[in-house]
Amino acid sequence: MPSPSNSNADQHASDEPLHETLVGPGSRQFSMTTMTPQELHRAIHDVPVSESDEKLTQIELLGVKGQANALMRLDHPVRIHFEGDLGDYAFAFNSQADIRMTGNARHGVGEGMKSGAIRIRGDAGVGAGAAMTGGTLAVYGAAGDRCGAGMRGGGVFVRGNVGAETGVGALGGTIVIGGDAGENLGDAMNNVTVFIRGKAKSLAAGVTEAPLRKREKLRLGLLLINASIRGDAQDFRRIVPQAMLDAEQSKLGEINPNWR
Amino acid sequence: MTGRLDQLCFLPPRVGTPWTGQSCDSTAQQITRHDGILVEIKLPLFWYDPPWHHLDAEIADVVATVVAESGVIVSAMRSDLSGPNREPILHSYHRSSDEAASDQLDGHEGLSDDDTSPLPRMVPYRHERYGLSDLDFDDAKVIDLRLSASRDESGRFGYSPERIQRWEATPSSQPVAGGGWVAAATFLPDVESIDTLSAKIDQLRALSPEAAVLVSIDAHLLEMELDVIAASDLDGLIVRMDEMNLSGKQLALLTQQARKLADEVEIDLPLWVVPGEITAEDAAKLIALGASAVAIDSWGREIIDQIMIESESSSSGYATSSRASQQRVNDLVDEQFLPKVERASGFIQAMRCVAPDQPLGCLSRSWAKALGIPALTVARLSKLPE
Repeated sequence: MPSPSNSNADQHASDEPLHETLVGPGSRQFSMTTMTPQELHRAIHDVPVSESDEKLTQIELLGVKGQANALMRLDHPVRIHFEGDLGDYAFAFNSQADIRMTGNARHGVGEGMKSGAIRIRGDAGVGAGAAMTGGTLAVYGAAGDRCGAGMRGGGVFVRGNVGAETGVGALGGTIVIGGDAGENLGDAMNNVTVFIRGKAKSLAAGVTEAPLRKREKLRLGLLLINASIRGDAQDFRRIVPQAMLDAEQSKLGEINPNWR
Repeated sequence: MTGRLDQLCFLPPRVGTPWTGQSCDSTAQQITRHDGILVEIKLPLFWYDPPWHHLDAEIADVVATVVAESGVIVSAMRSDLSGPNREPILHSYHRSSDEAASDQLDGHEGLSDDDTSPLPRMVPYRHERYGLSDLDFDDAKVIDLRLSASRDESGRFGYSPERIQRWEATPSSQPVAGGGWVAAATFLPDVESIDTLSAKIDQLRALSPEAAVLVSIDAHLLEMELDVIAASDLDGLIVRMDEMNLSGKQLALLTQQARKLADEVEIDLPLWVVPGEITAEDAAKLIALGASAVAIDSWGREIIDQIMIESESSSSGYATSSRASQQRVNDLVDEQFLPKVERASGFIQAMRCVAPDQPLGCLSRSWAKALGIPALTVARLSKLPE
């Protein structure tokens, strides 16, 4: 679909070696076709940080054409937005950056992410958010198998369906699924809460559906707002490890803070 | 200690070999990454899987640092060696030119020509990435992409409460996984299948632009999986032979076979082996049999066990910030570890003075036949018992 951004990208591709354009106060453009990954990384980190916490400095990326390993290890409080698909392992180990992409991301998007946000208006491949320790990964399409695998913190939100073994080996954090889940949801999962609106093909051994209490409804409502996902918290069900539920119940409703 | 490869002997240079000192004073080698970048390896010895969680983090850091200073490549993540808000010395320490010069004067060849390079370190990149931080990639020599599921000391495919607690460092009142075992993954969750492993290797190269990306695999999977793994453009291979209870002859044969298979992928593909318990001579013999580098985990384990014993018998244990504790670690490494490193280095250097096709001879006819190594005349004449 043609858009002003796409035509800009084409213009940039023919305008080498133009790398950076100051679009206006607090806003930049960089081209992924004319800059090496290292140059782009450096240029993003050189962008001055906005003095206002409310309004991050904006960076628009052009020439996004399925590049692999894009924008890894960013650690800078800026908002980066672009249209186009990316290859495997985009945004791995990022901190602080607020990324908004319109397009599909492939496997391992947001691997090891530490903080900040990634919002993908498209689909994600396998292992989205694997081993992340913080921040928010929101996928407005569907995500593949093993979404949130091995995560230790942060939140993964998928508006559509997720594949098999979602949350496998996760030790902390929250996973919100707007659609259905594949087989073996929550295998080897500890201290993690999954909220699901649709159906799971099967739950893994050791995880169970738990009542969605008022406090979880409130919490989920806030999480949905934070991830910009429309929906009513009461449409979701809560899936947790059995051990976590047992601990909750043994404390007469008082949740261990570590499991919130 | 009796060596597992005692039936093999180092051969001297043939009579009439020209007198030369060339290449006899270095154990250095290079790994060429698939993108052409050269990674310098000073000493072909590495500590593959140290049980850091058995020691206090700060003492573990001292052990790791002292061992790495000898030139041995040490596997450790920051979370293995650091407490809250503490930077591990292993990850932050850069040798000054003065120290390098001092080493040169002391005859420590391993790091003598260095100026301010980081200590040699490898990053264990496990399937689950528990405890891994992006900072681990900085200044690493090797990224060890472990394709085999991790087996803990108990034999489980999993991580003990102590280990996982070290990595994830939650308050003791809220232990990870409720204080229980955490299952190990069997494959990388963000790789679609082994056929697309090359994308993960590319990513690791991008994350660590100066490190070689080696793939670890169990020896018994080598023949089955090597073709597929080879297609992923790895920089080298680490073959685990330590979980198989191999006899000395089997270890030697397997190393030879692994070399052959690795050469089928790419001539002289770096082949690192993890043999289990070995002597300094064994380490050098494995290099002669085709390994590019050898794991010396049993030597490191002796240090860790000794510290644990001394900690239990002393009322105060090893005080983490005590200079006396750090000095004791230094002494232990000096007395028990470094002599083995030095002896292995010596034999490895000496082999460079011998024709590369005949560094070893055999005392046993059955070994000689199996390995295709010449039986020594003395063995043939006296029919020495095996």
